[in-house]
Amino acid sequence: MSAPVATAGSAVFPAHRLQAKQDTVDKVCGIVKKQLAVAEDTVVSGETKFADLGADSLDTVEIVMGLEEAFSITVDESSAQEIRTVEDAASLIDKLVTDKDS
Amino acid sequence: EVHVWYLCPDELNNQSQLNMYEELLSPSEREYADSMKATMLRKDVVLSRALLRTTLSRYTGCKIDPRSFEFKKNKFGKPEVLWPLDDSTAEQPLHFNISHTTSLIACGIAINAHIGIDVEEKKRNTTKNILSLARRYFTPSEVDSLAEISDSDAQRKEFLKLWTLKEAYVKALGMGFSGAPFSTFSIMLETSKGIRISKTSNASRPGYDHLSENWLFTLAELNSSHYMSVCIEDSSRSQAGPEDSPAPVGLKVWKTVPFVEDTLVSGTEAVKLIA
Repeated sequence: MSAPVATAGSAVFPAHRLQAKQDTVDKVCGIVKKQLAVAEDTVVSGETKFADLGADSLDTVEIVMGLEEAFSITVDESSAQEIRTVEDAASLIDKLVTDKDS
Repeated sequence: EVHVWYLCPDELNNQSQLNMYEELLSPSEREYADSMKATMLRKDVVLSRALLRTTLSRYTGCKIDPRSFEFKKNKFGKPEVLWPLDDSTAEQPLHFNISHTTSLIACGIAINAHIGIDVEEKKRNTTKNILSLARRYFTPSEVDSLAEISDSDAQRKEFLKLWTLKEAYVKALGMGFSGAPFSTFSIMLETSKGIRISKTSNASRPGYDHLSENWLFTLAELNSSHYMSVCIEDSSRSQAGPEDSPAPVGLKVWKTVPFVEDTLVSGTEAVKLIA
């Protein structure tokens, strides 16, 4: 059996992280767009990197705080540091929400 | 002593000059610049890499071409110079750190000392309430000192000063935000020894032994428009007793248009030391 191959257009997620729910991704996009005052015509999706939107560390911290408030979770610094894309944030949120509710 | 070289992206619009700067970048840096969809961000990447390379070159007596520098990341992702292994250039104890805002990119340089630098626009507004941000991320004593400020604009500015100082420390340590969470150390602004760091009880949890307090800080206002904090290792005072004040950090600042013009601005109105 051959190993899975990542091809352009597909994403290979680490085994421990499931793909984030679209609903969560959409909510994160909304919070991010608002925090960074993103222009109406700029597309923000799961793949969008925070760095690509010009977010600096203070922006990131405010976004994380906005996510904590919206989802009633707490994000510790080491998890926050791993977040590069909207998808990363959404996956983390889904996990924290699941942990919280279980 | 710390040297800082900065440029202002808004003032650099000459396309042939920008092309010249782009020429200095490595293939991977150029790829990274190209990956930026927004033109402004792309320009930012080009300028910050060009600033870094030209600045480093100055400190090798211009013997190393800006294009030649290679970089590696430490295990936490902090960039460092990868010195060539050939005999022609000895490894140099040159440390650097970069900070950007949309209107200013700064590169700090220190010899033989780890360095962190952070710059912020004075007029920057937060979307979250200042005290909420402080309660979530800062220490109780920092929250208290902010809460004492009744004027909201003054409070916001004080928050930004603390923010840049804390960022500069974390960047100097080079272990990322999680290596030194903001809640594990307090910045004390007005001690007799200048700005000092104090670990909080939070920091006595396992995993934070590396949080050291022997760091020197300098906080300045640049061009009346930005706060700039620089943090470097205090390696000088191993024998000093508690009564001795550390020598203040010698700070020299240049505004640069690489290859065109350099202006020493420290000692003028453009650089006002706050602490």
